[in-house]
Amino acid sequence: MMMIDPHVHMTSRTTDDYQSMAEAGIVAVIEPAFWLGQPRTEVGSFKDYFSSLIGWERFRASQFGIKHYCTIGLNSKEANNEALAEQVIELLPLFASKEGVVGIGEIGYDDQTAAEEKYFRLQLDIAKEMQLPVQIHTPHRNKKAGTIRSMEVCIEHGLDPGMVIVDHNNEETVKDVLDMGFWAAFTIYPFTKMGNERMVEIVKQYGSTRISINSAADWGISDPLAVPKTVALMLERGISETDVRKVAYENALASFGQTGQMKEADWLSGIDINQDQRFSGNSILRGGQAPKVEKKSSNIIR
Amino acid sequence: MVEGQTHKRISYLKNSIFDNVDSRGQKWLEEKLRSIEQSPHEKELYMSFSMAPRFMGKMRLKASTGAPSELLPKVDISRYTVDQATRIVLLLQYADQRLLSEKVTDTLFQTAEVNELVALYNALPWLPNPEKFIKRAEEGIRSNIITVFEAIALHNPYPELHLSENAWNQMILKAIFTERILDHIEGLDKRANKALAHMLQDFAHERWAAGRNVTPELWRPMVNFLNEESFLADIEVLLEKGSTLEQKAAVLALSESSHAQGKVLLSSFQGKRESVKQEITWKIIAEEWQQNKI
Repeated sequence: MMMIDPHVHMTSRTTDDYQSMAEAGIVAVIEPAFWLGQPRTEVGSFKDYFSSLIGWERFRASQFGIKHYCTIGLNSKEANNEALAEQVIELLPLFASKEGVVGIGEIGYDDQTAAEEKYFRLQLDIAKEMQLPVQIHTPHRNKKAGTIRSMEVCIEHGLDPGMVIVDHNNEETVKDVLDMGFWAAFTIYPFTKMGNERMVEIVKQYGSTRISINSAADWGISDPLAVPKTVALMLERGISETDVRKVAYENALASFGQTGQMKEADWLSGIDINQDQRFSGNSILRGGQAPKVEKKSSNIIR
Repeated sequence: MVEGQTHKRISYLKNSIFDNVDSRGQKWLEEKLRSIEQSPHEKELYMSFSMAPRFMGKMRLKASTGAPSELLPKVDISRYTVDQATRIVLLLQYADQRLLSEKVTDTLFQTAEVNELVALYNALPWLPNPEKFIKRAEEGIRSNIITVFEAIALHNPYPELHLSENAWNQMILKAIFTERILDHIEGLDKRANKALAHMLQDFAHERWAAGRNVTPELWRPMVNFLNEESFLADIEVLLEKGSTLEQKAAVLALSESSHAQGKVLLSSFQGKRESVKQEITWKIIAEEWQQNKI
């Protein structure tokens, strides 16, 4: 089965991860701009980071037959450095208009401070003006209130809920998100977010409409194979293939593909991975391979 | 720079693009060019430069002829895609208003995504005062993104005309290292030099020591330096132990060289082997090597 991981920070991952992801059937990834663990102190660091998302990282992914897209934004943590945030906001439209940039993200609340609020709103306006989808990071702390607030602010700014993907949902937030007409994304992330057995139950209860899964794999303890492992577990536990495909592929494409910057043809036609793209003798893996999830380790992510 | 050259380049490229897009694309480009002429804003240039593929498409440009040589020598615009040509014409229009400052080109390069970088490197030979971009060209050669390296190194007249010997040599070595086709480099024979010949030889020896082979195109830039004994010795190794393709390369190198001792070597070899006598060119050798790799 072809899969998309619509939230994964490949900058923090190794080529081994790309290789396993391609082997497991991941054909495309979306890398939201986020913080790098260490706070940035100069606007130039953001510029180079955004450039790497549309340059080097895109090429690195293509070597493994994976199509790489990204969302561009100022994350909530660093929005709290206001002097820097002002300069980053200036930079955003320049990057948001680039090919393969499929949205503004990941933006939202962390501590839910006034500065976070200000730059979240400013970026919603940019998204609206540029007609781009928004990828929303919902907070770890005070999650339910933060999630509902994020959606209310989106509506206040005149955004169509169909253009907003609310991420890092759990059992407590999913109903509100779906009821309000937003896309509900789930991050399968060990310990702090969702385990994938819980995810199976959510799909059983809520179905597959406007629900998607991702790994949000980054520099923390995370799993770049979270999507294929969850796919395997869902199938094993009797969820229909149609529903699984929607959750692990179609909904990500439908939500982020709305601007025409991400199309199935991008990977079905085989990316730019002919023999001539070999680099220093490295061969390139092809996309669209049959899922080959590791058998020796368990598919369950707690 | 001939006065009005940029202007002529704009019309030539614009006409070629117009032959390839529908009225929506034509209208979009016409509007962008007009707005750059009438009320140029930096932000507008950056936006239209980025968004060109959405309105113009990314098809390969169909062009009946290459650029007229008085406009730009050695560029075959049918290698461009419509969005690349569009991006070049937008830059030229900005340059024609004398607005393409270093600050603007720095922003374009520093914030470019992969396809934009490819267009920027293809644009270098078209721009007025191309010598201003030597550092940028060298940076493109250092790029780890192979499509970016190709944009500056292959089918592009810029390096031949503007690179220093050292930068040129690094580019050739990198092309070999990344297994590109040297025949696609403009000026490969003209810019051959002794320092490069030595670098290539060292590279071949290093590979041989590791039990690997090298592209038979490697010997092409050495043709004029076979009067050095060690080079001739390598050619002899190829004739004696090389693959058929390497023997062909050795024969071609010797026959193009004016070195007397080389001629002796050539005739004694040709007496022994009938198989490599047929018509052979560097282009054919490059193609056969690529075929064998696949």
